[in-house]
Amino acid sequence: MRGWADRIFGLAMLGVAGLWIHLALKLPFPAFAKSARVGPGHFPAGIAILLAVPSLILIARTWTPKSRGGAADPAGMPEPTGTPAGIGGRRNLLIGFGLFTAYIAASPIAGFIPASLAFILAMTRITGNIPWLKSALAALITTGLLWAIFVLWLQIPLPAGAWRP
Amino acid sequence: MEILENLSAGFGAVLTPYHLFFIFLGQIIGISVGILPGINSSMAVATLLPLTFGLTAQASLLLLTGIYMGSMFGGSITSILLRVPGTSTAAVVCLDGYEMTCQGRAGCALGITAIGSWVAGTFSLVVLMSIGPLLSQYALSFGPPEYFALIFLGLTTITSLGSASMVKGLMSGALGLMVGTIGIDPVTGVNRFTFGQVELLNGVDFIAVLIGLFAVSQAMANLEKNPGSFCPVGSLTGLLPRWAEIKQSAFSILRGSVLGTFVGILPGAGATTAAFLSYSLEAQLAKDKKSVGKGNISCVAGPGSADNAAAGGALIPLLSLGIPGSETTAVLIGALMIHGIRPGPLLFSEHGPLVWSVIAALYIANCLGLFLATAGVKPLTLILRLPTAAMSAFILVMSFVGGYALNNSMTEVWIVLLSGVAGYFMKRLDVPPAPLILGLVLGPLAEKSFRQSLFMSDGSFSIFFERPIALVFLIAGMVSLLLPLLLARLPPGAPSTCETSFAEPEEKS
Repeated sequence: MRGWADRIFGLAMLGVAGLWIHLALKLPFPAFAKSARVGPGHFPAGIAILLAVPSLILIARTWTPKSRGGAADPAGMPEPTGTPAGIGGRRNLLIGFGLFTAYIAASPIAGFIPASLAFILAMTRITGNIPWLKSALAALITTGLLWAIFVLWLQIPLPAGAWRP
Repeated sequence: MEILENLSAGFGAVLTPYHLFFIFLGQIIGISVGILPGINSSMAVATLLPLTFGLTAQASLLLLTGIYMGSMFGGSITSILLRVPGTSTAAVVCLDGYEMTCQGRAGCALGITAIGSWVAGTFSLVVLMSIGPLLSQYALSFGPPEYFALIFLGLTTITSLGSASMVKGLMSGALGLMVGTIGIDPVTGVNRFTFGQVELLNGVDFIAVLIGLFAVSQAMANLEKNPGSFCPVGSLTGLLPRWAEIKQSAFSILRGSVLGTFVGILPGAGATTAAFLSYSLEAQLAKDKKSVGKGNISCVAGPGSADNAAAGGALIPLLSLGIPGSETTAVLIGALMIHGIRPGPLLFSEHGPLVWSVIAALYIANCLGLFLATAGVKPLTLILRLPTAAMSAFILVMSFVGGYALNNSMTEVWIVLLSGVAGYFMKRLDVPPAPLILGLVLGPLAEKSFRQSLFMSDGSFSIFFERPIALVFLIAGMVSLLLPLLLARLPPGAPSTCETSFAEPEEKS
């Protein structure tokens, strides 16, 4: 399983490195900078090669007999330290990412205060089963505190919402 | 002798209830602002600058320098407790500081950072008083080749930061370097890798990446594990570091203080670079390489000291030459000029009493910071007892606000989310995030100084070998890069400093 994950990761990074080299070599090299011999694309291309080489090593390791046998980890590493997530854990993870994405998307439209209240309430209720009252209190205190610090004290405007004039 | 007389006169001037109030207020505001992600010391000082218009020059400087020094420690608090970097300077403390929290050593991590900050702050002030002007002149002779060589030395640590696998560490570091090339090329002005997005012209803000990579991914991982309370392992015992831990960290603090002060003096380098270079150094010198990134106290003490030392170090060129060593000291120049004071070589002779009172105030602020930090350790660690869901929601909202506050734009918030997803998968695949951050922070500096050097030499690479300081740094960098590889190839039983390498260890086959 880890062999496959590493192989996909290695291939993805190899693809990114290839894209970077392709784009870097297409960058213009202004005449005034030619005396330095190193243009805007050379450094990124060099770094991309630096990414491509270990990516190839990682992919190659997943094809070694040891890793195919599945007895040892292909990169010579221990299994991930995190405890395997159960169905509940994965559900929480997906809900967490989903709610956070929705929160970010909704904030410019709904405004920071309503979006944050709804987000914290939903997170604490759905992923933590925290009672309604405690969830509402957590949402109110967190949102109010951050609004007071950033908007009132530091005068950093947070999204007000598309519905505000 | 003259220095001591001036210093005692400075203490005499600031040891009044009126001035002590501003020092205390500065520390409180600084620590509070440091805790908030997305708000760094330069933003805080600039935002609060108008509030000092009605104050005397002395009072306003005491307040602003207090904020500056206080924010350095404040940033470490959320880095250690929640893996949410409060400031860019404290970002690197996340790596081992949060691991210490997970081991039930949050108090120890906070305590050693507070002690290190105090030692480093005091060290940089002693340097400022004694040989500050001399060092400033020396630092000005640091050109692009020396900068490049120094940054190269820092980047070579990437090979030892991949604690689980050097291959994945290199991939992570290269990825960070690549992300650092996004935006307008600093030398020619050519747009690179922006894919037509105007928002990417200024590059990818590393704080946004950091918040996502550490805070968001950690909040999600905890939601997945859902152990009940946020701190996954251990109790919150050990509210202050034990004597043995202080002794163990003493040299790291000293190294961080010296390195931080020197990097702080260099114009444009700043406390963030100092903290990352200090982390690199501690990672290289760690006896147990496996412990790096897993709660190594030296990797907390070193960077935690280096950022404070750099803050003090940045005051050296400011006060002695009138040249700001960091963004915040540039804002402080504005504060001085508002009150009709022009910093420069004549500052000590023209406004001696004011300068010495500021130096005395910095000593007091340092001691006050240590007191506030140690007194606050216990209440701060109580936050870790909150339920996972509530804490994760809080961290995610803080991450949103931290990302948004960087440029008042949603682009950074989306970068936070994307980095969070990337960070989660990196965690699952055992790809270390530290090299990515190191590459992202140091990469743009390395490229800029590398290409500026080549401009100076008309494209000849010999410039790096003709300048003694640059050559020394480059040799040290090459040794640091190749030594782990060579030692890993030694037969089993031979002394080795790096247990993971391209060559797979025997025992794992």
